[in-house]
Amino acid sequence: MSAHEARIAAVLGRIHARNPDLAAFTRVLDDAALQDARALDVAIARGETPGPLAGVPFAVKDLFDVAGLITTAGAHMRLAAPPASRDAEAVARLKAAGAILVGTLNMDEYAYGFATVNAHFGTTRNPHDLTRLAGGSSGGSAAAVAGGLVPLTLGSDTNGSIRVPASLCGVWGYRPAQTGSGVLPLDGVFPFVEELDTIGPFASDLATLQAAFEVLSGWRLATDDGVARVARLTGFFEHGAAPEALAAVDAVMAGAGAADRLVLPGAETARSAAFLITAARGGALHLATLKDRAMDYDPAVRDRLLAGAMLPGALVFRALDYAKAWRAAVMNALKTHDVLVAPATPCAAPRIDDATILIDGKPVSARANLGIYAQAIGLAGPAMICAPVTTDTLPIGVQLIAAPGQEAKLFAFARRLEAQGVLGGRIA
Amino acid sequence: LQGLSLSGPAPFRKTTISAEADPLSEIFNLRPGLILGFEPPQACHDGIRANLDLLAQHARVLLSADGPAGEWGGHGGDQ
Repeated sequence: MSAHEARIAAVLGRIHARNPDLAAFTRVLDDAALQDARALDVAIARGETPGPLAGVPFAVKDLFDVAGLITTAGAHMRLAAPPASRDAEAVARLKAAGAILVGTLNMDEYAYGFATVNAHFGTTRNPHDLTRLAGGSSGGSAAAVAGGLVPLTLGSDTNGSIRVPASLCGVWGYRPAQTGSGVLPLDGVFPFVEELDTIGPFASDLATLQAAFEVLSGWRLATDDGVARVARLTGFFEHGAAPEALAAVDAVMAGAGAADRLVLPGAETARSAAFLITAARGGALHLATLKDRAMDYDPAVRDRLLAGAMLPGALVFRALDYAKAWRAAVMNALKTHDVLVAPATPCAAPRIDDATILIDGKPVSARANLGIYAQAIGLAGPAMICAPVTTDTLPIGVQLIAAPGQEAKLFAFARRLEAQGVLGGRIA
Repeated sequence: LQGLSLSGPAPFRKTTISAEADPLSEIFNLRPGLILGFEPPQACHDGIRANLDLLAQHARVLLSADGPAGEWGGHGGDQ
């Protein structure tokens, strides 16, 4: 057995051993992965230069097209859909860099949720505590990394679907900017909300996260000294946060030696605007299918989509107008500070059997509210790392937010705090 | 709007839209078949209703806002 083949065989063995407890993988591509590993070793033996991700095993949320496979988007009803004719662009770029695809990953149906509680494919469990949620909608992508099954995965983030599970599972996640050189390709990705959809990597360490970002974007980031003007987002971004979420931001600010505080007026409204845009777009996207096959949907997703399809058009346009003004306001704030810091989730992972969280002391649905802070800032379209904060309790992460074009400074800042031991991924 | 009558399955049946009632609430109580172009199965109705209530909460937040950081205030208010 060749070197990479042996490594991939070990990875596949680990996936088969642990996945029954985690429900992170929906398909494991044993034969294809071993074949790709052998091909990589043959290429290296021929003297070819391996790519920057040579031999790195990776898996993708089951809304990325993989040639020859059905893209389920987490929906049972799509099991009869035709298979994809080619890989999604992001998958193709990772493969071209030498990474080896080993499987597809669980998610909330059609990416509509923050829990990865899937009526058909099961509930993905948090590797740090199997009684708790992994978060969503890219829960399988986060749990696969946190469980040590693979070091790199791909997910999507419309309202927080990378940042929420990355926070709850204690791994690194990246949501790209929606403008500039750091935009990541959506070709071959099952859509949800065209105004807000992004894709990005999860990784067990920051170096792998950055390497994946550079491969996916085709942008080699310049060297940066990591010194940044940093501010903590207060007001809405601390309202309702549990002590562990506030402590995570405290730790980052202390590590950065920063004390600036910044209020972004209108953040609560931005979150509501994102909520309404998402519901309306999702409802419009699925309307024809809902008409004929409503009862084939996950009930929780179906009823959200149907309600979204009923939103008055004037309200949706108002929300879209608000989004434009919000983006301008956030980008203006990012002229005075290089990195903004905010909680990624309002709390650590909730229990699966009691999937409620407290906001203002009131129990609310985790599925709808774990992304409260991620959703608000995501509407502005900046570049964001979800960074796991070092802790010996349940994992939790923070959002590190930068303007499009400032990705080098953003990664350098995170690297400085990782070197200090303030930030770091945790593998269970 | 007073006197406008609509019919539909419970819990969406509305007989009158009153001018005094919360207009947003009234909009969201319209018969789903009228808006969607088809009648969703009865089993969906409670879930739709619950989600419409949630969306109405967010709609009220949006409609009561001036715009972020005063951006709208200087450019024509509610436009």
